[in-house]
Amino acid sequence: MKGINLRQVRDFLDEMHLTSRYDDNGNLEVVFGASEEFVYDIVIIISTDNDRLSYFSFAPGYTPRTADPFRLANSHNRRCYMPVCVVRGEDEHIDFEYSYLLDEEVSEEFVRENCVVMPIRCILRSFADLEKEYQP
Amino acid sequence: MKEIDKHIIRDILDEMHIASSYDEDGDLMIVQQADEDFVYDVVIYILVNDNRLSFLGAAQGYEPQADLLELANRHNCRRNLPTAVVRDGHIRMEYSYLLDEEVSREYIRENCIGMTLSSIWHGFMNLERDER
Repeated sequence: MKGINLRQVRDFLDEMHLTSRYDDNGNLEVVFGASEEFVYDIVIIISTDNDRLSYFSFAPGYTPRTADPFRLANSHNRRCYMPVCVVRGEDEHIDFEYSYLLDEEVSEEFVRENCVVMPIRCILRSFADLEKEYQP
Repeated sequence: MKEIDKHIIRDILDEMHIASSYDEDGDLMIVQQADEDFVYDVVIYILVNDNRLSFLGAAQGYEPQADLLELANRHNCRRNLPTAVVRDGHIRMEYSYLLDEEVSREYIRENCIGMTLSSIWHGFMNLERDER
């Protein structure tokens, strides 16, 4: 396949039995409820634009308590190649983001496994591990 | 293509007329020469491990005049790639691709190699600039 659109992404999400909806901007939104491992909901916004598939995720209400957010983000980015951890806003909240440019031919398996399944798993894992795995 | 190794990557670099060498660890290395836009050489190591293609960029002698963590974060907020990280008091530009499923050679050449090498250079060049 060459190129990507949200309908294709949603088909993959459906195969994963994940609940998704379109938000006001026409992007896909997937919400993961709080768990024992991470006690805040995690919202993942998935968008496509010019064959770029992008993930933007945040955890409403979550503020890191154990370290400066810039140091936490850098520690994560040193440790994990994806998703990228960034600090945004005056409240210095943590987001995890990643994107894939898919304007050349790749297999459906590559998109499903490496561009949909993996980033979603990694985003969930990253929120849970951000402070646990912090290395000053 | 479903398997990559450093020889395949070097063949593609040669196709793109990008000079490369092997370092002492056997990793591929390329040097982007300083110019008037960015006056430091940028050395990029290219590693291939278990079908993961990784790029590690360093600018020799470059010492940004601002807080490194905030600079790295600002870069990461602005750009999709590469990821700026602070290691041992220096800014590095890094990015990886997991290529364990079938992709075309064009995808590797254009999206994994060409785009990443260019973005590492521009990442260093624009790190301290206040655009946007």
